[in-house]
Amino acid sequence: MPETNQISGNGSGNGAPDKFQVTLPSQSGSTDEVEKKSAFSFLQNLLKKEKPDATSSPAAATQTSPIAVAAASPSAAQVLPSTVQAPAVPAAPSSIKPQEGNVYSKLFGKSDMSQTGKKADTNGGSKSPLQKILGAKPFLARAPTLDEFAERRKVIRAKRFFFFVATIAILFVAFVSVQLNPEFELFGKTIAKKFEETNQSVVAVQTETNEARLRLVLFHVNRLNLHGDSFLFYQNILSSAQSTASEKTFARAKLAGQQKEIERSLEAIKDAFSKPFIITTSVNQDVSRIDLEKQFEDALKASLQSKQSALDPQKPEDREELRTIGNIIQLLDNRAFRGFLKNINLSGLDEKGTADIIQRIRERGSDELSAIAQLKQKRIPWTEIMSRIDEVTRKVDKVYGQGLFEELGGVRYTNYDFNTKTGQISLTGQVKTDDAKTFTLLADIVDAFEKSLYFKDVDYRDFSKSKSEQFGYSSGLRLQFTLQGAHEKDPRDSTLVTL
Amino acid sequence: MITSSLTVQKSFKQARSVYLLLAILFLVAASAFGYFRGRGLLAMRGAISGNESQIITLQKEKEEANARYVETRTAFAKDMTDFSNIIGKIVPQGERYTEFTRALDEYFARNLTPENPILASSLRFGKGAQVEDTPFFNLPTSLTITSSPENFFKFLRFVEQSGSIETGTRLMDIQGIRINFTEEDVSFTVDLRTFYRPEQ
Repeated sequence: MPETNQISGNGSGNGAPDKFQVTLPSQSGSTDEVEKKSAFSFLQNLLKKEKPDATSSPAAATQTSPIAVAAASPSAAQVLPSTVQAPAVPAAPSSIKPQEGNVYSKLFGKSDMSQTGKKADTNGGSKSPLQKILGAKPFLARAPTLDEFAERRKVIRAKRFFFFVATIAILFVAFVSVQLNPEFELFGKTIAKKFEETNQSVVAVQTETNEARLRLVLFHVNRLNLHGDSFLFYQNILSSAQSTASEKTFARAKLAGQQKEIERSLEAIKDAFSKPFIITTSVNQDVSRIDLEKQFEDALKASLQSKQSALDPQKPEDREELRTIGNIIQLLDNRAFRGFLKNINLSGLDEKGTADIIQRIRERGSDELSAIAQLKQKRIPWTEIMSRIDEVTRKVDKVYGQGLFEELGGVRYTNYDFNTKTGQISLTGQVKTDDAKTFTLLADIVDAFEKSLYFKDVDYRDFSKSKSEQFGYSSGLRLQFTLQGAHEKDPRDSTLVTL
Repeated sequence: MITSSLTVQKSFKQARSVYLLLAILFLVAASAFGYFRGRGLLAMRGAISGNESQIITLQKEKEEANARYVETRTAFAKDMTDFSNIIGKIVPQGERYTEFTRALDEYFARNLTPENPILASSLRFGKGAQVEDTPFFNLPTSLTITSSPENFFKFLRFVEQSGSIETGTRLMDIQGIRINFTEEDVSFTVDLRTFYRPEQ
């Protein structure tokens, strides 16, 4: 049997019960007991001080007692709901003696529960001071059952679980969002930022590697041009009719050495171009190869241009670097040339093949030596042209150029006029024959030049001759014709009668 | 009393269900977000480690390429010094016509012999202009020369071989030539293009 506490209250006047009792379980020796006692004494004091009317004060006291207990002492309120089975002590009518009647009336001083309700209703309009102090009756004033408590605990657990999950979810979303934002740098570099930086680093390092390789390629292209120039120079000596035997022997010896150096440079260029110029990262793997090459070309060009702008053209030490950078940019822009260098076949390369490669490099190259070579290639070899004129003339005059014109007659040129821009040649001279067929000799000269693969468009329409007293017949000569290109076709080359 | 308790219990159950449902919703939403965006994040992390190892490899390649370039430059330093010097002679920076005049005079003096005379009686320079499709400029030069036939051809070959690394002479190109052969010598007027790089 649990120990109980009894709270007694005194009614005052108008037949109100003199006493009411609330039985509370006792927890002797605990601090709760002290708290409960102080709570109840507080309530008793309040009731003593106030003078409620005869009908309402006991009821109010009894009705508000659990609330008062709860308000005065939370610990007591915790105990009350589970132990106090009759929380309200309604005021009994004055005719009913508190000590008589049923258990209910004995306990609460009321005849029945319906009266209690009525009394409570009648008191609803005016609140007691206690009610005024304590406020509205709380919802959970009714003592919850054990099941309700269990449910409530589950709700709390569910609530805690929800807050836990929500917190984790929000933190997770926030973390992912922050990590995906390269601009967010409050807690250091985000993954997106690191990703961006490493991608940029890959491109930057590849660009630097490309620059080093292109510098190497340019170096070898220059070296190749250097040796190629000498190679072609000696090859021209070997093929020229004007060269002496000793010149040709010297040129032959030099040519082999030059070819070796050219092959060495070509191998180095091919090796440099065999290395990748582009690199795929996770951000550019869907970009086409051509676009990617363009991207890396642009990146390298931008890097070179920034270096270029940092150099001073007035400083002699910077000029060489400026020229190198300019040539690398030209090499970058000339994709066809790079493709040609990359695909050169070096197997079984002979003198002719080497000369061909050099010529092609110079035709396509955009560096200074290639530009020089292109200018040189456009030059007209006038000594060769004069040799060819002599060669053609000898077809109609077997003793031409032997100094026998005065004795034997034939052809003699006194003036040559060459025009490189138009390719026109004018020859002025004299022909002399011992018989009267001077016109035939002139016609033969015209045909000989027309039939030659080196000349075309010969124009000579005014024939005249005079008889010489010393030697046969003579005529003035003024031929005009044009240079025929190496691969140019002239229908008159083959239709004329072979002389 | 029982009814009230059941109602309270029911409301508790409802509240619990709501909390659980909300928790599930948050879980699902976070999972969906994680699936779609987190996948990208994981891919980025993978790419970062891939990039990092790629950078190490590329750094090695870059060092190798630089070392090779330096090595090649050192090995063929003489070649390239010659190259730079010769380019400077073949296509000088600026008109440098006084230098060219001296070079021509030096040539004529070297080839003048009693048996094979050569005499440049006039030398004129025109105004320089850029040559189309090249980075060079042209200095028009006109020469009137009287020489032996042998020296005439020698001079023609001198012009034709100009601009070569082997000869190291200034690049020239014959634009026109008028030749007059007499009994003993040749007099000719030659119009040349001589090239130079613009001054920076």
